[in-house]
Amino acid sequence: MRDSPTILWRGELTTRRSLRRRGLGVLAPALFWLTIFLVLPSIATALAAFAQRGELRGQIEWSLTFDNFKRLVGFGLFGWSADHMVIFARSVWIAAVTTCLSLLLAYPLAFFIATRKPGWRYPLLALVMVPFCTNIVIRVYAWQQLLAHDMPIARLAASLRLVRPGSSLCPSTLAVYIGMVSTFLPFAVLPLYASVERLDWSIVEAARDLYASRWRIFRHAILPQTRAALQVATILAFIPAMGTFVVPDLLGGGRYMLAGSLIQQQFGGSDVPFGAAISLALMVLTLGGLFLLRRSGESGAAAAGELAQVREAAP
Amino acid sequence: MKTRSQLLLSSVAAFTLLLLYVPFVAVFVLSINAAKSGTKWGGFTFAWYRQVFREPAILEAAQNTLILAVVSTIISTILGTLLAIAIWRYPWPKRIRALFDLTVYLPVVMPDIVFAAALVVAFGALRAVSSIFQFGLLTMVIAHVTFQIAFVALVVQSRLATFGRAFEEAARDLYAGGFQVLRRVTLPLLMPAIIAGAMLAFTLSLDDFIISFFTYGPTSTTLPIVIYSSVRRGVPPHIHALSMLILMITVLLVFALERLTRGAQQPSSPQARRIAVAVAGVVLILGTAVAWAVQSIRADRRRELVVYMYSEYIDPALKDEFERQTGLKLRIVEYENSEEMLAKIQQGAASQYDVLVVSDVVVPTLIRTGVISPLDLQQIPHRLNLDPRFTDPPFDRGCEYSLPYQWGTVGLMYDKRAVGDRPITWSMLFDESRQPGKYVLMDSMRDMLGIALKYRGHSMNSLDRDQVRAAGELLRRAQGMDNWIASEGGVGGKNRVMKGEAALAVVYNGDAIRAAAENDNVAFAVPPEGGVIWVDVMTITAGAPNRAAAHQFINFILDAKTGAQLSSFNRYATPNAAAMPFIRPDDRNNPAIYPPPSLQAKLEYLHDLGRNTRLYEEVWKMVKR
Repeated sequence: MRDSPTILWRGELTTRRSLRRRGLGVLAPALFWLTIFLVLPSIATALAAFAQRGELRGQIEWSLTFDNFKRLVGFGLFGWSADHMVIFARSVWIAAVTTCLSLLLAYPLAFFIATRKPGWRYPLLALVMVPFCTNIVIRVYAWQQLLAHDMPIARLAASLRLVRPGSSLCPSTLAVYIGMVSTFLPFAVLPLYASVERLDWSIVEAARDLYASRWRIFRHAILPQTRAALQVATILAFIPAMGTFVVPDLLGGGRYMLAGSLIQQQFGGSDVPFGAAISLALMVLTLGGLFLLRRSGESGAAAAGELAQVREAAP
Repeated sequence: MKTRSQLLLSSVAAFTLLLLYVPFVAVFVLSINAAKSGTKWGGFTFAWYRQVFREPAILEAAQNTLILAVVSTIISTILGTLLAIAIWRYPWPKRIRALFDLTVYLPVVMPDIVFAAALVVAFGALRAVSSIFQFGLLTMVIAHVTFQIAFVALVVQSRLATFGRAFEEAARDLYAGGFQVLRRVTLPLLMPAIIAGAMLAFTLSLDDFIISFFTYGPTSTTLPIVIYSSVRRGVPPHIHALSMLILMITVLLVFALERLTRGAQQPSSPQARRIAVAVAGVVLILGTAVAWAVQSIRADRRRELVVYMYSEYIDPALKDEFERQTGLKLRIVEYENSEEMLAKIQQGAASQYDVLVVSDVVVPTLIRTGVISPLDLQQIPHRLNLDPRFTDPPFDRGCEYSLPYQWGTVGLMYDKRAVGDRPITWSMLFDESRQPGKYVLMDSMRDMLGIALKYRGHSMNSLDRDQVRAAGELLRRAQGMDNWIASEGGVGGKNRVMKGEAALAVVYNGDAIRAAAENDNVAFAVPPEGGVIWVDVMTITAGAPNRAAAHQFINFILDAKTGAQLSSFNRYATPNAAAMPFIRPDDRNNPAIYPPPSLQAKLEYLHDLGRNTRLYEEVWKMVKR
């Protein structure tokens, strides 16, 4: 056995090996937990995607089949159909639109809050935090109530001839978009705020002194400083938007399927292995998106650090 | 120039805040509105708030929500903090460190639903090892802790990154031992971050819906789950009040959190220490309270009979009566549709329920897979009360496994003013030229496809691909027409007809008949082309913890007077011949409850199609796309 060389570690004389042993001791509980309840379940799900549905709806019969993936890309009893592709494409599209709209609304809001007097900032921020901390079901159901046919908004829309009189705005594509944006918007505000608050205004002033146009000030002095936060905001809004089923379920009227609803439907009764295959696909899709995002900007670790900052800065 | 951009900034900010808060205002107004349904102002009331505190289901859910949040926060804060310290402090090789980092970030970047799905699969496997992994508070705590750990670790890590090794080295130079360094230097420095992490974990737990929804068990529903299922069922007004209460608690929590974290920003201040002590104290007290609560729930469960049935399917007075007669505690757990029920049963919940009240169509599956066991008919003398038509059903010959609870049909509820004296037929949905107005379909695969098949003159149990597909296309068109409002589960359609929003809705007859008793403008009929007839039956699970009580319950329901009371409550037909004399003549002679023989001949039971169900599922997906 090779002796590990003695080193000086944080004021303590020890060896690398003994340090690692102690480190593992501290790490063990969390690592054990995450292995049992995160890593192994993920592996089990990946395996289940190759299994078959059992006799009782929802049961798993372990075997090796690619049937679920064939179904996923659209090969069913009636030959090929685009159903699943349409649903996935719609999920990506709606999550992307939601993220863009959220950023567009959140960025000015973050600036607005960060440029108030210090005494105002926290109450305003708390105002954003409240919806963020209120359960998604309550937020979505509140929209469902607000858009009902006899509420003022629907009446206004009807009187403007935007919809037929007596129509409800609620189960509709518009309602789904409204619900998505208002649900995932607070996720984008917080990281942006944390970043804007720490903005180095001297750079902006320098740019102004050099007679930069307002656009150039924004483009070269402000945007680069908030890029990491924009990335985090994108991640925080996009990922839950991809996986949601509550919004389309409550605001889409039972006709608006997203990838999340598809998974929920499979797990909610009919076919766990197929559900596992879909959720595997969703995960690959999301991780793929993250990878692209990461390559386009700073490293994910920086982004995650930014995320943590948010939590400390925000109330 | 500057003011213009300021104005723009302010107006976008105002618009965004409006977008976030307007819905809450609407719900607040509804919550103090005395009018029961609809949005007309009916005067001010606090009644819905009072009702929240009288609903045992809501109180229990509130308790579960709190227990879940507190317990999972404690565990995840400890584990997450240790994880962050261990990763930061020790000299790990680069690759290994990257791997650790990945395990921290993974739960943050994984969509909730993927994570929830993975846990469902994993708990399924773990249940083979031990039955403690049955869905319930424990599985929910595990699920919550797993995603909270990452967030706690992230927050603590970011704080660790800001202080170098100098503090520890200084402590070492002063001859502090390893543990002393941790206790006297590292932890106090970290305390603000640990508190912030714990707070984050706590809010995440309260905020979570998806993960709870996938992992909850019969005795561990939380408030979001209660609200979700009431919303799908048609929002009783006290749910508005409940939502407002939750919102107010959130507001308090957010402002408390803000004060706390702002005060604790300076690491070594005495205030931070005081806060830490206070938090620890609160946690300790809550922990004791929780342990006590869990204990009392456990003690209670031993003598409890658990019945799993459709929502609002039993008169609460009957529950009290049963408890009074037998001295047992009866817990009714509700589900909204067969899919939901089967999912919970398959996921191992079978042995947590004693009696399952289920639709006829799922009985063969339950028998084949050993979920339910034969009844001991000797213990159910009241079975002799049953109408002979129901004692030898095709899905369970001789009632070996099941005895009927109630029966009914699926048909059209309509607004008389819109329909006038036109005959009710299914073409009112499928033929655009004959639609009397807006309509709501039922979000139920077999019922809707069955109706479309019937309209085309086929059997509802057709296995002919072309017939089923054509029925699917018919439905798809019906969902694309201008008059289609929604496809809803539960009683959503009924509510829309009641409010005058829809002229027609596909509903269960009992829902419609109860509505007709309140509102003279609505009525129900099964169109002459035919429709679905169903029987819901009572079965006992193979793993029933309380078999004798389960038999007592079935016998109680089959009592003549109980049967009559049941039917008077939910307005479905009784299979109980002895109960008929006790049923109101109005109901007895109502063709919407007891269809005349000419119509009965056209009604069809849905059969269990086994693996062929996939045909229907694929067509249904096409419909819903």
